[in-house]
Amino acid sequence: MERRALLKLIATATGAGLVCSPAMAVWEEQAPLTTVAQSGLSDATVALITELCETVLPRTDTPGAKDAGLPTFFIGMMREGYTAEQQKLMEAGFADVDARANNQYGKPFVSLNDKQKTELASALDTEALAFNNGESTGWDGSDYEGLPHYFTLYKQLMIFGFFTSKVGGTQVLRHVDIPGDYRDIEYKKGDKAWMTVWPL
Amino acid sequence: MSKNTYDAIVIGSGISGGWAAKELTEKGLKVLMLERGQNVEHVKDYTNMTKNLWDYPHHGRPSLEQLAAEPNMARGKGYPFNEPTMGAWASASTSPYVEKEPFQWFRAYQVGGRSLLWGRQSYRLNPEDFMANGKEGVGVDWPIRYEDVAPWYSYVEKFAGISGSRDGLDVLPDGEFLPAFAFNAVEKDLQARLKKQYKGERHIIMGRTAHITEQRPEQGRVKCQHRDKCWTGCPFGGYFSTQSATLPAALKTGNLTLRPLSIVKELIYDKDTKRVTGVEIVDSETGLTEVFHSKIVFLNASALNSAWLLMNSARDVWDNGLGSSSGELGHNVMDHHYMLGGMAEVPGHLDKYIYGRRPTGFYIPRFANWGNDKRDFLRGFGFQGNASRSGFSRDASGMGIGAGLKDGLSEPGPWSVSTVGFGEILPDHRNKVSLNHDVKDAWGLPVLEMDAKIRDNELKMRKAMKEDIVEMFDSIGLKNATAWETTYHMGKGIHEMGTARMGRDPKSSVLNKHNQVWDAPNVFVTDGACMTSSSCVNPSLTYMALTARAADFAVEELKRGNL
Repeated sequence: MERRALLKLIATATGAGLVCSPAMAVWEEQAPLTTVAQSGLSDATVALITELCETVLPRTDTPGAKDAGLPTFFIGMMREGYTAEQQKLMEAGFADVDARANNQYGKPFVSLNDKQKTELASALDTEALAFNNGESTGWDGSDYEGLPHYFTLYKQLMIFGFFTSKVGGTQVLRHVDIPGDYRDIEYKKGDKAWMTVWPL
Repeated sequence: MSKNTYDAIVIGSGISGGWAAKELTEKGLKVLMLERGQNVEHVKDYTNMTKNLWDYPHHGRPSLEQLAAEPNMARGKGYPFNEPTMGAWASASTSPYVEKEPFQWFRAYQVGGRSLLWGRQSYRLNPEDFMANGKEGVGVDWPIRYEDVAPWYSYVEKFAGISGSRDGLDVLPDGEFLPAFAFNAVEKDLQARLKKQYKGERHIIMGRTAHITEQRPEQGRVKCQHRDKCWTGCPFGGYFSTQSATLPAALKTGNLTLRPLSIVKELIYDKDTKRVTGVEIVDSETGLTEVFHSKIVFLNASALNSAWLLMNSARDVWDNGLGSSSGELGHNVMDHHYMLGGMAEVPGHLDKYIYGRRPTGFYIPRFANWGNDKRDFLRGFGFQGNASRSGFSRDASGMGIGAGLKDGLSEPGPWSVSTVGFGEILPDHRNKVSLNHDVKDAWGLPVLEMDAKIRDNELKMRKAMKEDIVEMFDSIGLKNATAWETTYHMGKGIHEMGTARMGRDPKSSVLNKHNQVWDAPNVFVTDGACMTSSSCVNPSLTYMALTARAADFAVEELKRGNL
């Protein structure tokens, strides 16, 4: 969108003849997502995000967050899909997670064992629900008027990014590119849900 | 014939323009089809047709920057504007418009127009739709009746390929259908319960959809493969579009010249003969103008742009342009008001699931103000919907984190039913678009100013739509039925209509009963602009039928020497 619109505007402004290049596709190729390197986050924060993603959506008998490339998507999407204020909240949350880890276990989140990581993230998940219901919790949040608990933003983005990734969509969910028809099928507990094809 | 002279010029290449080109070329006319946007070749140019969400940088969601670049479309979470369709909608940065009242305008400036991006729901207007204005003293009476259009509905249905069931309902006449898409088990159950509860006066039918459900090798089309990626272009030609159906038919005659990148600035009007003799275009690439001549012109630029072109033509004769002598050109803007509906939980059926992605849902045809049903507003509404099991986007706030969350969301959730309502908008002279000469587009042309909104009748209807859907869901035993509503602006239904309406009297209408401009009978307007009322059903099938009907008449008139 940006590139074509820009080219058109430049052509118009400069009086150049070429207003619209027919060589450009109608359905546009889009610029790649902001990379981890471009995100401006410290290595420590990137490591924290990576471990948080894996803790929320771990590898079991099916792939987990790291297998699906979720941390990279999470970071890029945080930069491109969230307002400056939301990003500020999300970054404050990273510091808060580590502060809690240090406080409770005497080391940063990435250095906790799996059980401790899960304990901490579960507590944050429970706290986020309470906070969003207006209860007083360990997260103050008064600097971020109108926004939910940071962990809520994390969890929403992780779920979206994971289940719309190729690994999530085809190995954790089911996907058939060309179904051919539409029909009732039997369902038994444990059968996978279908991947969606339209953005949610 | 000189280089720039044709029998007919068709302006626009979307649903109605494609039909005009097909019909006129098949009847032997040499036709020039002008399209303001770039060419899109069937299959070859469908760059996103095989992509899945993970192939898009933001997995399909527009980024904040992408949203900020198109505030008109992005407003209110415009569902059509997302990464899979990005670029296929016209940008307000080069083609701006002015909103006196909020107006969301989704335009597709490329060969095929919105035929590549439409919802594909295809319904006939009913006999009452053509009579209601006259009976109720609203707007003007249609100059035609259902019987005038019925054979043309049949004609276009057979060629376009409309899937649907013959339901025998007065409110929604049956047509020439291909086999309907399938209901799922839960929908069948709801259908039976609704019929029983309302004693056969309310119905759930399968959406009638412009998808072929049988192979059509003669058209080079393969039946719908249930991919549900229609808006990225269909490599199978599963749904009707200019590219999949009308354009190949027109090209096959050898009588069609297609010129993309051609913005028609003006119809050239000869006040002595009271005929349009041709058009002046600006080449969107070079900025150069060029003139083309023809005996007749079919104006199919979409409702608002067709009105724009008429308003920008013959201004030396009429201040407000060709067709403005009635005072109705650009007025009576209609759409279908929506962005509201209802949902409910469907208990049970957990041993059932669905295979495949059906590109349509069910339809609940109009029941308000029909038969014994009387309301405090005029006209009616219908609902589109489906029953399905929720996916990973369901509320996961109570599912914790870790393996339990992942495993939980990797299975489908419970069944629910979801509907969205579409209501009729009355023609109202106050609802209008006009030329704004202070704002120019990237080619220095004046732009449209929108001044239209829904009013009392629509607002009363919206209240009833929400109440009715909840009552219906409650009455058939569904749980936690709720209505939803978000902001609707005129235009958001992407069913713009009425800006050059048909009528019986040149003093109160722009077009006659054959879609001819009263003031220039060799100009035919057969897109949404011609609509005298809007009904509540999706309008494209009616544009197809009226276009084929007008093309047939135009060719006969040419033969008779009347044009």
